Amino acid sequence: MIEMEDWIYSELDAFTNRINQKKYDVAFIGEKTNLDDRSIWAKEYLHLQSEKVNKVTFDIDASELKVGDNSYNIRSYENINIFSGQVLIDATTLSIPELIYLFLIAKIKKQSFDLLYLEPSEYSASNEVDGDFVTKNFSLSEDGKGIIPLPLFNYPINNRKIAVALGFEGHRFGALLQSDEYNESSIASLFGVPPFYLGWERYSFDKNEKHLNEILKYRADSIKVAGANDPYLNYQVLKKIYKSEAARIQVEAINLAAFGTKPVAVALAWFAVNNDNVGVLYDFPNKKEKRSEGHGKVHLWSFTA
Amino acid sequence: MNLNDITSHLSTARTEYQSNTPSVYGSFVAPFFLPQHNLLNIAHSVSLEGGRGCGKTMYVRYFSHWTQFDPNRNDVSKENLSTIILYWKPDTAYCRGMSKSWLSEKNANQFFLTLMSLELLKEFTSSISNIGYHFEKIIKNIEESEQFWSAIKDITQTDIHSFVELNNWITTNLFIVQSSINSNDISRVVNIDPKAMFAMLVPIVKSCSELISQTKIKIFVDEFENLADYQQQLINNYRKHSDSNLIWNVAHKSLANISTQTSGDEQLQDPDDYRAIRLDKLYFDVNKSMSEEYELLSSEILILSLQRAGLECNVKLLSPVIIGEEKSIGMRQETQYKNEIFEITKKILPNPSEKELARIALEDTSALKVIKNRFKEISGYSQKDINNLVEQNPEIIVTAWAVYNQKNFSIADIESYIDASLKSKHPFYDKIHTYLYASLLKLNSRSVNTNIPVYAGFNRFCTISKGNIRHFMELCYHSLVQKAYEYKDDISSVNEFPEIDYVCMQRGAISASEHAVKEIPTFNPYGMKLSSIVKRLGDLFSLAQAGENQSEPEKNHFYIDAHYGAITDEIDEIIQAAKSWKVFIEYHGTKDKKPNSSALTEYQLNPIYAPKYGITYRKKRRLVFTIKEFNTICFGEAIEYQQLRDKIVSTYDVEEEQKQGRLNI
Repeated sequence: MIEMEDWIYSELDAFTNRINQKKYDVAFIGEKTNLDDRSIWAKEYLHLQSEKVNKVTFDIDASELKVGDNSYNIRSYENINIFSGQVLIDATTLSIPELIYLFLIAKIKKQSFDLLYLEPSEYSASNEVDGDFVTKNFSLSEDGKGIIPLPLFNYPINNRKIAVALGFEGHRFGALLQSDEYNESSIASLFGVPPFYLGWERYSFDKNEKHLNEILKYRADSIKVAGANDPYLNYQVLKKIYKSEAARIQVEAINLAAFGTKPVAVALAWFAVNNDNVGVLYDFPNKKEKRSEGHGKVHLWSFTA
Repeated sequence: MNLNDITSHLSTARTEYQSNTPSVYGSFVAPFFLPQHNLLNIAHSVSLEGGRGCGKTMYVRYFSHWTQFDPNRNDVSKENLSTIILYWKPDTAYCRGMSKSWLSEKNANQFFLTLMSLELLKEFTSSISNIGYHFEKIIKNIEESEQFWSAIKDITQTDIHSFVELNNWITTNLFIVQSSINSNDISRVVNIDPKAMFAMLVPIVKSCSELISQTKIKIFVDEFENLADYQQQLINNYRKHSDSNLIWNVAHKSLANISTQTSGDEQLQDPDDYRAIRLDKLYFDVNKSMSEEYELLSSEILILSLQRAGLECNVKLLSPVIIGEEKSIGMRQETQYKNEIFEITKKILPNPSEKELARIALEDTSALKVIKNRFKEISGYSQKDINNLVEQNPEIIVTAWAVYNQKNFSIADIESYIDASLKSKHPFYDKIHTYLYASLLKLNSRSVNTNIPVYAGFNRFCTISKGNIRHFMELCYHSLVQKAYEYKDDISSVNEFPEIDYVCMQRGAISASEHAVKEIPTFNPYGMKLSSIVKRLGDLFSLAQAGENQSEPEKNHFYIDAHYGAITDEIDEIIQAAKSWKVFIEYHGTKDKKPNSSALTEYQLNPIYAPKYGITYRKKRRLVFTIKEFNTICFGEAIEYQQLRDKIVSTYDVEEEQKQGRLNI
């Protein structure tokens, strides 16, 4: 099991004032570090704070986790040795596949680590006039590969509850419903309230409204609410769904899909490595450049294994 | 019941096929082409293809044992036993996730083949149980057959003596497969090859009863395109080597990327190894004119869904049970029946004529003012004469408003047309025929307050849905929702169903269209791209239609002016995706084309998107793009698209307010 021990949640200035020495031996960052203001910041921060910084990507076609110059087939995850000393992982730039495998390796190797995340001050959007009202047209990612279960986390869809973390990209949730395999009645959605900034919840509602209407027809409790920046609370919500499923299908089982904020994705990845029978689906979108702007608040979660 | 109850029933019915058993008994309407394409009778392997929403799954499920031997049927005879179709819809995401790169080739193959065997064995036992509802003796003989259970023991390596035990064993082993996949450990997984399994079981089962001694077994794999390549190839091995006892078939989205390769070096060939049945072409051939068959089918499906929502219907032939039967087809082709059906649907969804639409247009005070002023200017008529024209011949004055600055336009023409008592062989009649509808669209786009119901009516819904029953039902559903806002009376039968007002149908069509447009980003893997292309084309077509000085007004299709070889792979890939998802409908152009030119192929924006952009749903005139222009539409940044748009605007002489139209596309 990996557990959250500590959570620093701070304004960026106050946080950076505390930088004074190389605190970490090795840090892990996503491949694209020039996407937006916060990924540039994350890169600089990691280099200031860690002796070594490794880029991490997961290649689904080859089933390979690439760490720095090395590639590891994920089938032998137990033999992947990438940690030593104090470890920092950057969730700002890493996506759910990389996070999940890093968490899994940390769990196996009993490696504690810190997890960093910087909120944006804004997501890139243009105004779109839709009938009588103006809505935001977010431009965060381009087409991806379609929804694929991650290796080591591949379970059937039929008759299984799927918890979906929702965000501003309603079409990614829509694509999941589009394939007839996912039955509206089997969906529990995680809705990020409170959002990073009050008022943003209406965008995620607006972008997912059509699909939420569909799933609400089956169960009034299919929308679960937990803070968009709160992995701890989201973890508890997942636990509840997972346990209640056991009463229905005689086994604790769930599938997870993350289309929402990173802190919720962290909760999903954390939950998946700690529990049996948890499937994880991901659609590998191509993140756009300048997808967000500015720097919001910063989170530093400490996990022990 | 009231209209709200009915619409909410229709709304859940849209997704109910997901949750129930695969039987479609009582919810299937037998299409007229069924006898020629009866999946039970076709001797060779079939690949059933069709666009999204054309009813592939329903078609296969109809012929499967689930419907053919549905426990609720009371008309099953011995003849039904001649062919039994097993239906397998794999859990495709789960299967796709079993990648060779993760599991190794050997393990991936074994996991997939065992999963397929277990699920097909379950399907086989379900078919025996469904048949047992109608032929008790057969199931009893199988249950008592030592040979059968001994074969089951060979397959399962377990002592099993009843179907209950067998099904439990299957469930347990499916669970072992899923836990073993994630630890990539095949040691606990049974090793079964589906073909070998059937080769063993089928002859034994057939020997259990004279009734099934000649039975053929067919397997249909649905959503074939969503399986991984190596999985398609494994199934292709079986298709290639189907024999008369066991025929393997597939159903998939048309134009999807599917493999015709086997795991060896062999290639599957149509028609040697399989025959393709293109279902959407059978329902509706876009290169032919609107078929009465499709209009009848959509009427029947509408009435049937109202019945399933709880309404009575006094047309005897149109009962959920009868209409799903092949033998109903002859009777349903009789004129009296057709008239009865059309009378009901056309009463529910009345079709305003273009002349009527022109009259409605002139009830709009702002449109009336503009048209009258313009007509006064060009004709010099007195107010009284103009008022007469508005009263008597709204179609003339509305058309004149749109075509007055064409070179061959003259007031004398209009006068001679009226003198000739509006004869159809008059040049101005032709003008009305060509331009009236476009004038109405143009009036709508002039002002947000003008809303002439140009999409209203049963026939228009049929053309807009273009062979896609799902779209047709969406148009009806959204129109009913509009009507339900104001209509609260109790309804008990289809025959007394209230007439849906034009304005409700217009709003319903726009709303269905908006939903359809919003859905495009979910079309993997090019959804976002396709969505942006549709927005841009919708924008360009609506600009083209708003222009002042054009002779070809209704535009909703295009061609790319280039030599075939000049189309880039990137564009080609997008066009293939658009065709596969039916975002574009492809036509083979005929006129004034050079051979070997891409101009021979035209693409229409699916008419379901027309109401959202206020453009025509009819395929009339086309736009032409150079490769460079089309490339900008597909891949250009906002700024490049804006430049293209500006260029097009300047050639159309579009009014200023419309130029500003849509932002950020």
